[in-house]
Amino acid sequence: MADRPMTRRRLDGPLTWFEQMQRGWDQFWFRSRSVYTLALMRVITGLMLCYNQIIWGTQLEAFLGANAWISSATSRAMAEQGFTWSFLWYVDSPGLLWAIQFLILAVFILFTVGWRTRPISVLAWLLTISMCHRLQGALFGFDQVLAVLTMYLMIAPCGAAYSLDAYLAARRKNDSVPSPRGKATISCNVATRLLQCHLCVIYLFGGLAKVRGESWWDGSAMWNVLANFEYQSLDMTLLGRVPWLLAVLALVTVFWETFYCALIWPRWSRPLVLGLALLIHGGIGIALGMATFGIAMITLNLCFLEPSTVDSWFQSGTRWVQKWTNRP
Amino acid sequence: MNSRVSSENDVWRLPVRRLVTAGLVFHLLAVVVPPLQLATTSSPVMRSPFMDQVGWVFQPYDDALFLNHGYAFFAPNPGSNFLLWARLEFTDGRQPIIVRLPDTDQRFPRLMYHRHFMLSEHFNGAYPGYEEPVDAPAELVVGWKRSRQIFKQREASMIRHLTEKYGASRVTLERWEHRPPSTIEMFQGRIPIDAPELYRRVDSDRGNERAKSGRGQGEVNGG
Repeated sequence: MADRPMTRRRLDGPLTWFEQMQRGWDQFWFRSRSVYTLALMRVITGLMLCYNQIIWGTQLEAFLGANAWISSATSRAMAEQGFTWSFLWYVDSPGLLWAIQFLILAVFILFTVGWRTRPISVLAWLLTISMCHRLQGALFGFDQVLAVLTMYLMIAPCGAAYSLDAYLAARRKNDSVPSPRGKATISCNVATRLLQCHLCVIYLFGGLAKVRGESWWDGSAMWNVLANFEYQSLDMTLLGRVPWLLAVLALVTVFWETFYCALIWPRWSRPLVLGLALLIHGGIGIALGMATFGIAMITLNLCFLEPSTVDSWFQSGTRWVQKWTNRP
Repeated sequence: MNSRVSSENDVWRLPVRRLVTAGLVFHLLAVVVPPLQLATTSSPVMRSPFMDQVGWVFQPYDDALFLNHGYAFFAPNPGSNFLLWARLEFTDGRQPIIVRLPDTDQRFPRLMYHRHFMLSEHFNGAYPGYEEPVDAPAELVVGWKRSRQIFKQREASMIRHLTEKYGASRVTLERWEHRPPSTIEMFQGRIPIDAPELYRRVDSDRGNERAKSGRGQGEVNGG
């Protein structure tokens, strides 16, 4: 009986630690956040979804038809041991495929403009992963990022700003300016945190995979990327005459990618980390012909921008447009 | 509007938060597991037994949500690309042609070009080898047989696509490797990045590994 207070005292440390951890967790996940950043991400993601779907449409039957590069039966066989499913496995008639193509495109357009965004975003995500499950064998990082973006944007009310929904809601209230103010919700924060954590995982494992390759240490990886004929869209091979520069670029890439998950959180290092993301993904987009992947990754990085920053950009842009349109 | 926001936030009471916390932990683990599985695998036989077990738990969720990725972009060592060349023969008097995946002469729209590039890269990546693994665990042999069966189905699907598209009587698929030149080859040897000597045909089912020159005369690109 006498040693009870002693036991309690011994437990004080771990209990305090546990309470602090719980408080930290709740503060991280369950505080309110404005929607502006996610709304901007929705618009860009929607545009990417539309563009991607239009490009699939240029060779729809070659990828989804009865004699597709990878037929429905083959796609099903490839997924046999997995837990995937796509309604497109059961469609190969040209007429029906085109009807579905226009339906999917309509959903993506509605997602972009933000009309009935809550149900439409769920539909957009389901269609995105259904396309991915059917079209395996022709996919790359761009598709993975689109699936990530649509999945998390679906969680938040991302149509509450910069959308037709917001415009119509403001009109119903007879507001003169359809201003999407005051929409701070916990679900916005949960979606943002999930995007941030997922992005950290992508970079961490991207960096660790590079660490395993000796060519990223001696810089030859950077040369092999620049001198890659099939990827190349801008000839940067002249950089091969400055090997030390390639070695520096390779090391910067490895360290930036590996430590992104740590350096993105402090406010002092965030601009630097995001600036490097812009440079590296912009470079990949311009020089390696993967503009779509570059834009998708940059869009994913937007999740670290404060909503107030995004909205101040939007307000400045609106004022600028109003100024120009009101000019005599 | 603000009342709607506050009512949405009111839903997040403590029991809901704890339930969501459990979901979040599960989801984040599911995000981490596939790349960790890849990172702990160095060959089909050299895999982490622990990650195999963990992966088995999360596989349904990861597969269904399309989260089953390793994120190893340009890693561990970027190098050669693997291409697919299809030799098409005709019985109607047309000359044989070669259809290349990807077709580097038709890079627009770039996203479609990249889709074709990925078809060839993934096709090569799925090649399980010609010979059944010897002295390997039974599980590995079963896996090889299944991979082989799916690879052949994939090959047949691509052949059928090309046969129908071009009206060919015979289509033969060849897998080619294109390595980037070294800096010495490029700057001292003046070898361009698409020089024929940088292309090499990789092993086929006929079991022959032949070094061949790259682009021939009078070939038609397509795909």
